[in-house]
Amino acid sequence: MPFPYVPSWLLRRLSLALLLLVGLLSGMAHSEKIVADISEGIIKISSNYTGSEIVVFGMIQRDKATISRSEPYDVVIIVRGKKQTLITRRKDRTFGIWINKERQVFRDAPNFYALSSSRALINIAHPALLAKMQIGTENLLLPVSFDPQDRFATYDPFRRAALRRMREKGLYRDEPNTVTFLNESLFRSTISIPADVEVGAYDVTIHLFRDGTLLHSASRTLKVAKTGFEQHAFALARDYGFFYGLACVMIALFTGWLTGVVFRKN
Amino acid sequence: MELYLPIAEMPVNIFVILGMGGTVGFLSGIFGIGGGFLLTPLLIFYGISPAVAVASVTAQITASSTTGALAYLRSGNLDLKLGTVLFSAGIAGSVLGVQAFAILRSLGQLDLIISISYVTFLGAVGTLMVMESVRAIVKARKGISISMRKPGQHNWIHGLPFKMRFKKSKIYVSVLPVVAIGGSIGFLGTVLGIGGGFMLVPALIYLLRVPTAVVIGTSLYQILVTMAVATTLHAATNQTVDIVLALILMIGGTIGAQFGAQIGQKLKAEQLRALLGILVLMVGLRFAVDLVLEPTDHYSIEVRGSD
Repeated sequence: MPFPYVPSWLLRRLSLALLLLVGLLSGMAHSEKIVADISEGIIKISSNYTGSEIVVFGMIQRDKATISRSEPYDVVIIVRGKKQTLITRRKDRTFGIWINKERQVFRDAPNFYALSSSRALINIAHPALLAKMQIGTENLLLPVSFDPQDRFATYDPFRRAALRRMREKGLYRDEPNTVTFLNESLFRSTISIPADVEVGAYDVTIHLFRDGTLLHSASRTLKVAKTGFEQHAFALARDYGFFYGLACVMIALFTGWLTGVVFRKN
Repeated sequence: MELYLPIAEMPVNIFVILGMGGTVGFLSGIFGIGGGFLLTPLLIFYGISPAVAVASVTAQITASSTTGALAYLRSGNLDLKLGTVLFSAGIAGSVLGVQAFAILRSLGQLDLIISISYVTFLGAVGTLMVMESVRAIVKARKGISISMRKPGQHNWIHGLPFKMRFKKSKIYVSVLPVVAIGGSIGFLGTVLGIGGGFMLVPALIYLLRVPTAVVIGTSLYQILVTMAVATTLHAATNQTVDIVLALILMIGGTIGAQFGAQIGQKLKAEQLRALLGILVLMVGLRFAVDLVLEPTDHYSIEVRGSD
């Protein structure tokens, strides 16, 4: 069925395909590369926003010199938010009541991390490489100079609790087997963006692995922004808190007065 | 129907929030209270962060107390002078309260302080109300008429200096207890996201001997001003007032309060006080249970923006 218009994503895809074709014909590439893009570069939050999803798609580009091998290609897609400070606190019983006592601060915690991969991570690369590249939520919140042999850092209960809580909130996710290959070089994946993500820029990184080796990485930026009323209210509250507060009081006084008028008997 | 809240940064079901506001409004209509002490915990339970819940409820209380205060002003049952002294101290308490709120939040002990305060104040006030009203009910059954106010009978508060005359309330007392009461309610109200009517009303009746007829109007007037200041301060200091959330609560609360007020007029004063006392005690108990029982998860996380 012919469409009356060409959707923008299709245009982008076509131009991408053209780009790929040019790349292939020029034969400049020395080995495998990936060219990828995301369906939407910006997610707009308005009053009816309840979450969204993005489609990441791309192509593995090979030159003639590439030796074809039996090992399959693996693609890992990571959507990662900005760094933030995460504090884990543990409650302990003191005088019969449960009080937050010990705490641990994680300075390099992404506010969002969603991973989509073509296979289970363990089949894609060596754990040490995954840890170094922070691939997989298991490899987040580790000390800067992390040694894979460091059992203490891995099993730190504060770190485990932080990961568990972030996973429960759906802000840290591992979704293996969600990158699908349409043929031997075209791949795509759908990644859902939950409703309570923060606004800001997100890095979408696409890694190409084969036989445990990282061949190439590409990245794109995804923006999440509030629009319309949501954006104005948020900006006003953040930048002009005092006046926003005054406006809230005015609205409250008006609503209170109006109620009295509407419901007054006689 | 889902609606995205711009400050809380999460979608909520608009009917659930309307229902919460309506139910609490209904109860506040029956008992003549603001209902913040019920609404804030409900919102936290729904998943809204305590900081946003507390601050947005202050805006909602501002609206509901405006309606009430205007009605009492019209009927002449509002002591403007007493209310003004109370809220002047209340504003000072509110300023301190917002500071304390920010400090406690950074220390990670905000939830604990909120819980302990709820247990303490709700427990104490609830117990007093139930005891007093049961005594009143028993006396009424026996046919003894009692009046809350016995002229000429003074307590220790009337011995304090700096006396001031409040004509409408027909009292002549020192400003010190008035300032102390106003200041504490302002402070607690701001930290806990409650108007504090359930504490202010008994304090005015039992400590200052303000006539019951004037008490509710005056208390609403004091709460209105303190909460308006608290809303502005929360917005300026903590940026946690969600106007969309507050507006839904205002609408729900308004409608609920109208139905509640009709029920409330059919009940006797001491029965109302007993029921309210039980309600207050139950909420206090709920917080006590959470403090004492072992939490299912000992760990909690807090996210702070990159510094």
